[in-house]
Amino acid sequence: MILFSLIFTFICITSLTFNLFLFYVTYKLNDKNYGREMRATRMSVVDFWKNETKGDGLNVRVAHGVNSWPDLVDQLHEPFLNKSMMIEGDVFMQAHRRPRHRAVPVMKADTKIADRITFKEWLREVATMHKAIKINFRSNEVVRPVLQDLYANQADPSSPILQYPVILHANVFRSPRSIENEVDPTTFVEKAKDLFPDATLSLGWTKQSNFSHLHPKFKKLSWRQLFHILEYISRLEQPVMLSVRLSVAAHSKEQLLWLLGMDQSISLLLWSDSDDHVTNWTPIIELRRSTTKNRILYDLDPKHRKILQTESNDPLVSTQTFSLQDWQAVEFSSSGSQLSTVVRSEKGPAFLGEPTALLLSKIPPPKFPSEQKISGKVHFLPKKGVENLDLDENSGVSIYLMDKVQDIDSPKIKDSLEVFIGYDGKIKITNSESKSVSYYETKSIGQLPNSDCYGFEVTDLGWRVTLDAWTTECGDQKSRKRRKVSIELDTPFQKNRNLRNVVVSKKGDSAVDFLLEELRHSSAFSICRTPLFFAVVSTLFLMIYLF
Amino acid sequence: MKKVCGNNAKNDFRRCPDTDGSCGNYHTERTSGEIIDGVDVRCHVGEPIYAPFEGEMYFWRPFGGKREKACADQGVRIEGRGQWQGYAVHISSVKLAFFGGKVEAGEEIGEAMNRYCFNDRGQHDVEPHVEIKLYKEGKLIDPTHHLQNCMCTGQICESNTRNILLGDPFKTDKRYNGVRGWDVECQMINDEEEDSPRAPMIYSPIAGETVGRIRLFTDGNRAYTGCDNDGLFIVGIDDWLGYEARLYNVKARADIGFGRKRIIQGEPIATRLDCDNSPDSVFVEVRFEGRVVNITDIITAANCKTPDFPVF
Repeated sequence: MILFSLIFTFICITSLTFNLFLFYVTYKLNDKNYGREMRATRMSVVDFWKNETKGDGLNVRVAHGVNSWPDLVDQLHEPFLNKSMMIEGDVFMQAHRRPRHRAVPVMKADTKIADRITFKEWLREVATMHKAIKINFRSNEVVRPVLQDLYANQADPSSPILQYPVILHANVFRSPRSIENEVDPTTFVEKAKDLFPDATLSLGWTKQSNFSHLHPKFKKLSWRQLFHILEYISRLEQPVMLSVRLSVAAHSKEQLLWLLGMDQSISLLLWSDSDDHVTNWTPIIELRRSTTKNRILYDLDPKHRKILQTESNDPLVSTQTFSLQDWQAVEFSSSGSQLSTVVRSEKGPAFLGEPTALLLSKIPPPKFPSEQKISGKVHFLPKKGVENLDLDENSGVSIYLMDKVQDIDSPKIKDSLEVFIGYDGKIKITNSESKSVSYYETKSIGQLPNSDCYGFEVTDLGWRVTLDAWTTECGDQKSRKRRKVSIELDTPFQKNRNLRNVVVSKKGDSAVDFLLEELRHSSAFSICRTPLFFAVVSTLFLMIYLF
Repeated sequence: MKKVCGNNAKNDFRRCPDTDGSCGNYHTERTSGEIIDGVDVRCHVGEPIYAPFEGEMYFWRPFGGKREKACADQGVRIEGRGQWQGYAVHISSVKLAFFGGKVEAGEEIGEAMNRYCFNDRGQHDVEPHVEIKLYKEGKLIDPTHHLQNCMCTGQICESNTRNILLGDPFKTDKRYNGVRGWDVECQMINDEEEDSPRAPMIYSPIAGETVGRIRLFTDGNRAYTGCDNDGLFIVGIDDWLGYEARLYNVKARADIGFGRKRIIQGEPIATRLDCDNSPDSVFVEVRFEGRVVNITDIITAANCKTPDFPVF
């Protein structure tokens, strides 16, 4: 007996070490074959300078406006301890006075025209400085020539520009009280994707005047603006960075947390200058603590940096309202050109555009007599300019309960059980499964008062489906009064007593998008009602009786 | 795509160059000097117009509601479904019989109108036509080879409407003696009435004149045995003259048999094998004049143009 157990443990240990060895070997092999993902240009500045930054984006130092020969020379002779890690240069098109000369991309500096350094020269110098490079595109005309220069530089794999992180930045969004013209986002993103798909793409807002005098409602990033940003970036495969002002970030904590929780990794750059007056630091600190340290870079005014450095940086764990791995997204192509898909984030999925994407729950439905619940909170966001239009009445979120999910080959799901919550408060449960017994009702309807956000809980008992829905406040705010409506529908089993699979989808007009701030699928296993329970209990009694 | 205009079975375009030098092909100059990314299919006024593919139909104004062009400002937009998910087509000018709803491919939707009725000269010197523009995910693409001489194979497996491939296209597969081709996904079909899933039907990718059987291996006694030792080949005819398509992991339909049979493209000619270890896919190999060729675009319907293989 003892010998047997000894042999057994010996076998276990040897197999374990063998497995570890195999794992190590395959890991090393994969390391060599990494290829694209590990190219230096795609790396985050924080990770590239790990020793100096210690993985924390707060310790990144940026040298701004290195646009002229004297600035470049200064960079070379920097004090060693305070070395900057990233060199930022602004480039724009220089039209020569004499029409014979072609316009060249030139670095923006306050010197005389003849003293200005061209982009090619600047790039050559900066590439030798062993620092990350950030190129700021200041006008539409300069996008193509500069990207073509960079593309030509990439042809040689040992070229110096490929050894350091490269960030291509443009102010593509117009901010209120803007004093400069924005760069067209579509051309910038498309050209960068074609010509330099390994660089980090950074998007920001144009310079403003008198920021501190702005009304607070302009100092935040609304959900609508966020979805507009998604139109440009959600189809990209390269790293993306969003450049947000500190005060704006302080008022848009929810939106930024959602962005950072997306399954496509996006990093943030928070910048500030003397116009930023932050009174409440809690949202910023919460942002800092909710993500890994290298996701947010800080390019702050010294007084803001000092305040942040003193605050703690312990990770903050928040309650999970949506679990990414429990849901699988199935997307179909849309015939329109606007973004029509489901964008998933740890803070909840967002359904945009035409209803061509579905979210399938990976949690298998339990067997009868257990029940399953799907609960959540939906936040409707109609697109801009939609108030005067006639919208499709049946626009909202649909939860389908289906027997078979393997052969879904079209976004339109027919012949199934559907629970619908409309953007105007209409709720209904419809049963259009084929061969429904004729004396059972097929529809159940209710109406909630109009609200931007609704909470809901669907209970599937198998033979009956109930929907409890209530109006609620959006976001973190606590609701004052709950107006709740419940409807139910009897759904007789067709063939076998299995509960149905859960599929969440958008329905109706592409003009009404929504975000599911919370979405949970739980199958409550009621052990008491299963035959297995009786069997276990009876055997237990038997055993007690026998011994 | 099916035929669009009544008597124009082959979806012929208007003559190029036309009487005033304009051309109705994709990305060519029209009468006004503009280069249009659409095609002009020959069509007389009053001829019936049919839906080129199945989808949802919407009324669409080709000239955006301009008063002066009101007489020709009627057209149709069809957003594709099923195989054509993600595609949309605009046809102008069409006087619609009904203004919305789901249409099937080939269903009559209206009649052709004169696109140039707002011009002072009335009927232009150019051949009467309707203009067709095809969008894929919002971007204009060339519909020429979807309308004419469409060499796409169409659906191959009953349970896979879009010919979704497993793994890389044109890959080698050692299960079938190392041939090169396409592993088309083909899952069993779970019908409502039956208890166990049934094997899906396989449709012929090409038009053919001869059907034959393929065996992959022999056993110890040099005999062909084994449930999974089966395949099918079709020798092409008409548009597919010179082609031979081989399908692995399929079993021919017993009622059709082998030999000299006239096979229409898309005709169900086999069922997928349902042996113990049968994979959930069908392997397709295509040869032209004996040599294995890569027609990935035709199988995935990315481009239905007749491929240009060098003839020896």
